[in-house]
Amino acid sequence: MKRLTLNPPQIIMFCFMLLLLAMAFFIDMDLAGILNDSLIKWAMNGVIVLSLIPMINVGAGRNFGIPIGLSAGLCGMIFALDRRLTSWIGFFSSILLGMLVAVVFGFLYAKLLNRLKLNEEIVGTFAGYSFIPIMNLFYTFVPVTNRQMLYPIGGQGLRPKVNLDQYFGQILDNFLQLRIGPVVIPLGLLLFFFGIAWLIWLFGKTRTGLVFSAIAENENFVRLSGINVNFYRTLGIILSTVIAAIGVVVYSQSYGILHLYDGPFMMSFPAVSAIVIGGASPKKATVANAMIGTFLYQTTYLLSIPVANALLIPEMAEIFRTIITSGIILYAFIFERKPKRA
Amino acid sequence: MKHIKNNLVPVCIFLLAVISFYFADVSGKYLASEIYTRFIRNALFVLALILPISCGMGINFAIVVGAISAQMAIVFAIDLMLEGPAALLFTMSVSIFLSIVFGLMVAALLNRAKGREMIVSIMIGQLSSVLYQFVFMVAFGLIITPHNEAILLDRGIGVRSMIDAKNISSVIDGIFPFQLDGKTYSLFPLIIIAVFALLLFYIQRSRLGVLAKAVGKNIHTADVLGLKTNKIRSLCIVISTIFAAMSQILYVTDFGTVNVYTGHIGMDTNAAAAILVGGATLKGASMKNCFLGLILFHALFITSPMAGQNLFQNPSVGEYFRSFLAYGVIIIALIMNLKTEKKKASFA
Amino acid sequence: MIEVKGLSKKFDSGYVLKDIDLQIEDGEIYGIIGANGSGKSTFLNILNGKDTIVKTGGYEGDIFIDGEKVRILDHQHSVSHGISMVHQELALFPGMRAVDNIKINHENVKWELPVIPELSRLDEKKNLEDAKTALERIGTELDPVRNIDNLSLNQKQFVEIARELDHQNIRLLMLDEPTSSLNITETEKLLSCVQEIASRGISVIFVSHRLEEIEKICHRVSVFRDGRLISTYKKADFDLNRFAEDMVGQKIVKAARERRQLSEETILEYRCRDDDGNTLTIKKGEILGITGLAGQGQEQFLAGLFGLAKTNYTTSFKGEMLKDGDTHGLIGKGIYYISENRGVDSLLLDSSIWENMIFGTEGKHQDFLSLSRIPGLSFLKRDRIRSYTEQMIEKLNIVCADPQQPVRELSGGNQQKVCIGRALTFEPELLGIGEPTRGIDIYSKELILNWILKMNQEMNTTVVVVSGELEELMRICDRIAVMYQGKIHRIFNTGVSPEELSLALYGKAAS
Repeated sequence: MKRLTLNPPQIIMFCFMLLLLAMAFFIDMDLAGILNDSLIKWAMNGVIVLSLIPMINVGAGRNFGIPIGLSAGLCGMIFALDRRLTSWIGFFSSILLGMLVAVVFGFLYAKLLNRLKLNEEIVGTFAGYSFIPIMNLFYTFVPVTNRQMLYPIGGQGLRPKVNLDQYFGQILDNFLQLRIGPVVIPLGLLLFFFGIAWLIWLFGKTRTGLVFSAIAENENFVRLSGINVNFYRTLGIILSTVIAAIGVVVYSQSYGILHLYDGPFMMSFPAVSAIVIGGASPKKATVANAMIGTFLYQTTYLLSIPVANALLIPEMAEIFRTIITSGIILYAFIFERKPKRA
Repeated sequence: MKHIKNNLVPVCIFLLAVISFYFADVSGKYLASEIYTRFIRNALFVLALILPISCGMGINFAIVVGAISAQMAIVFAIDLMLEGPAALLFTMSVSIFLSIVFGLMVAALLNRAKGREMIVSIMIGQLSSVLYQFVFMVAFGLIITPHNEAILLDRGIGVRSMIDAKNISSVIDGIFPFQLDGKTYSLFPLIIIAVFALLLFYIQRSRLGVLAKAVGKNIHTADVLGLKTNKIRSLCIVISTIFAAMSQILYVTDFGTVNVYTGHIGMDTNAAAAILVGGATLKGASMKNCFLGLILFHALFITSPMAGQNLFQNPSVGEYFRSFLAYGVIIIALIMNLKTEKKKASFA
Repeated sequence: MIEVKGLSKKFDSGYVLKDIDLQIEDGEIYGIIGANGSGKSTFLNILNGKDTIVKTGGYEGDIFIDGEKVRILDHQHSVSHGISMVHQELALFPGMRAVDNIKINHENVKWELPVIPELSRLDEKKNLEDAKTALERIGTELDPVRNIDNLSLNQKQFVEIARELDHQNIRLLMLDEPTSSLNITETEKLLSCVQEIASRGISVIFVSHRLEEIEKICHRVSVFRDGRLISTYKKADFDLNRFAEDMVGQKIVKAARERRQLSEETILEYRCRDDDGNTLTIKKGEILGITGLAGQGQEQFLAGLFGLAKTNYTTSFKGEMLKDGDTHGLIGKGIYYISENRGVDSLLLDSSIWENMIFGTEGKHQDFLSLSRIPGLSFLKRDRIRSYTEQMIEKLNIVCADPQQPVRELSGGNQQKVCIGRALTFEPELLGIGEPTRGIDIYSKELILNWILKMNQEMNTTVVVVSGELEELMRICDRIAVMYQGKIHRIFNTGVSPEELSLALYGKAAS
């Protein structure tokens, strides 16, 4: 029965969504179109939100350092595009290369977080922030030969937005589309999303998954059981970084644009907010939390855009999104029990 | 040698600033004038961080809330079409009032989140920033009817993003002018900063100074001895918010226009970087740290893009470098904090 | 005169203090002694208005000061009635000056600001004078502007006492184990200071585990046991042996363990780093008890072995030196430890019984894994684990709904049984247990003690038990080591008398 209880953020989001739906109905909106978009947005952002799970479950807090994992994925795509790898080969080699880079980044990130235990959230935030200028330097000096990725004239390095149309833009979105009347279900994208979710769920059932949740619950106990806590924390943090790298490749193919430089800057807060809406606690997050949370968060945002436009204040959608994002995270910090100091 | 070791961060930044100045190839006068401008715009923000640090709450990123109260007061003053000293006085008193109200709200939230005030203050800053944007972008014109139609957007809802703040900036221009690098500056802001610095000096030596320090050293002991820890923490936050509001007023008067929607953003991280560059830690900060940090950080801030241009033919390199520094210094502070805590633990 | 009548305190688990009646004259030094958990701290906490009392429903009974009935509602209240307390762990602010520590929260100000008195200007000169007077009153020449960090422990204690004496209306000063971390000369100084304070007409309550101090300075002594006041002695009647008898009580001591021939083989050896000959060797197959009063280092003894606390000992297991904090290596060698803080260190309270039972034991029990070739990514064999857990539940008589039930929902006794179950799953060669019966009902106590004996007899497990329960130790242990001031004071074989044992707790031998 415990599983059925709703927490206040979920209730607020549901009410808000219903209100928006009513208004959408009132202004005669294309609901099928919204549904199509929301399915894509769901899977597009969903993988990034899923990436929070291993770190929460290993007791390393909500990963505010997502930009690190995202940068790894961006690197993967840069390498793939530089080789002019297109279509599926491009997509999967991006993921593979991104994962490799993410292992390295994740390892370093884990070193930092293991040193500053119990401060993961503030450290993650600033590690993520300060990682972006480092990556910017990399984008500026990386020896890329593909002219389409470089500043046309007068600039140095990669351009901030690289169009993916010729490579693997929307490749997953358009794969195995299922049309039912006006509704288009992006089956390929959803299957990929569910596949990753399933793997994470499966991982939670293994012995390592069990050790993870035990560490989150009681680090001392695990240490007394003869288990190297820092090793598993490192593993969890690397895993989160790797999934975030996959997530950004999925995100970029949907978006159709490779967004470098400040692209990943503010992406951690919406992701954290989504998983909190989904009902994750600071030490335990499930795949269902991530999926439900992302759907609610993204669909609400999607619904608010036409409503705001109808009210002639288009900025309102973005403002509401940010209010929800930071409000929910603040709620989580204020009303959740403080972790005990060891 | 020991002195250098204890002040490793300021010394390193000083060396970096010297190198950057050398490669930037600008005159000392130019640098001095630029630093003066940035000093008067940011000094009070940095001073605002001292009290929350000393009472153990870490860096108060919610000084954004103070900046917001100042922005609101300024827009109200323009909306009421006040001019001259009256406008300045109105702005200051309204912003102090708002800072007290908002500061108490921030403090109530932070007192519920003991042990992770920093990340919570970041989120409070973000939330209040959007709520504020909401008020001026949507409510103004829709719910609140402005007196001064000129500040509204053409569509009749929402305030323009840039508003001229001549009415208050003109007050200061004429007072105690002096020449530097071919431009005229006023000494008046510096006097205001000095007044507030003295005020802070007094507060640090009042009962609050001692009590805040005690709470910062050990909140558990403070509770055992019956100190009103929550009230002390709230007072520190309110004072910090007021300082931030005053700083934002100085910023706008110096700049001449109000950036309604973005003028307050980024003030917190810059101030945090400055105080940490000046050698403060998350447990202790002094005014010396503030002023030293302000000068060092902004010297680097000004020269690094030019140094980047001259060295790599790319000004962004310097910009990336300085933003890395601004965020990275906070992580360094966290690491150093942990080290001192460990040292303490091994002594005990 | 301070008088308490019928003072009682009840927590959820029952009364920890019951019907205490006593009077303290002005200028009297009143000693309170008693074993751990006898109610001494609860008594002090009530008088001091501590949150642990106030927020758990307050106290029962009456307190009179000079014949006037007062009700202590919170800490401020207690202070306003002139009651002060010097804490065992010093309540001082590091990095601040002595004067700031003495005057904190009642600073002199030049002028008082309305609304926000916190912003009033300090009267530095007057504060310094007050601090100096307070320090001089207790006979120290300490300069009040010195930083606390640079003071010796003794001086810090004086600062703390000075702070309490600086309260204008002080009537009663309570000292909780003030000398526990002082050396002999420092102790002397502190004791004479306490006598000096009392000579000014201030009543003093003095709680100490060091009986010779009690003997020396107290005018009267009361013995607490199990939350009751057992006896009160005047100075003329002080007798160590009677103190000991009253503290231990006339409990029915079940037959002590038969003396056995211990094996000659040493399994574990603790050696003090200072190398003052303070060693403890544990023989294979024995049950060794370690005991001592609170804070004499006995808990750290075991925890130190597991790297949970810093200790002054090096350990060798079967002749091989152990690395500090290498729990992985310890488990591998067959050493397992159940901490005295079961819920904190030795159980996953929010997880199920089966998870607790098998966590970390996969190395020994490959049959729990479905893919034992890749242990990290292997799933668990649920049915195998379930049947194993059910078997354990039956064997250990754990009262629960089913193996899925979270351990938090079990009673203390059943939680401890789960710990024993874990230990059985690990099959250790050497088992350490801290306070095996703390907070456990009588029925479960028997079961757990029997299981310890059973493991020892049937599996030849060497067991080290740290406990304050002398009676239990005498029942199950082959030898009992008593710790005093961080060191092993004496080691007794079976058959020692309870009085002798309890005197040893206080660092004394029977006369």
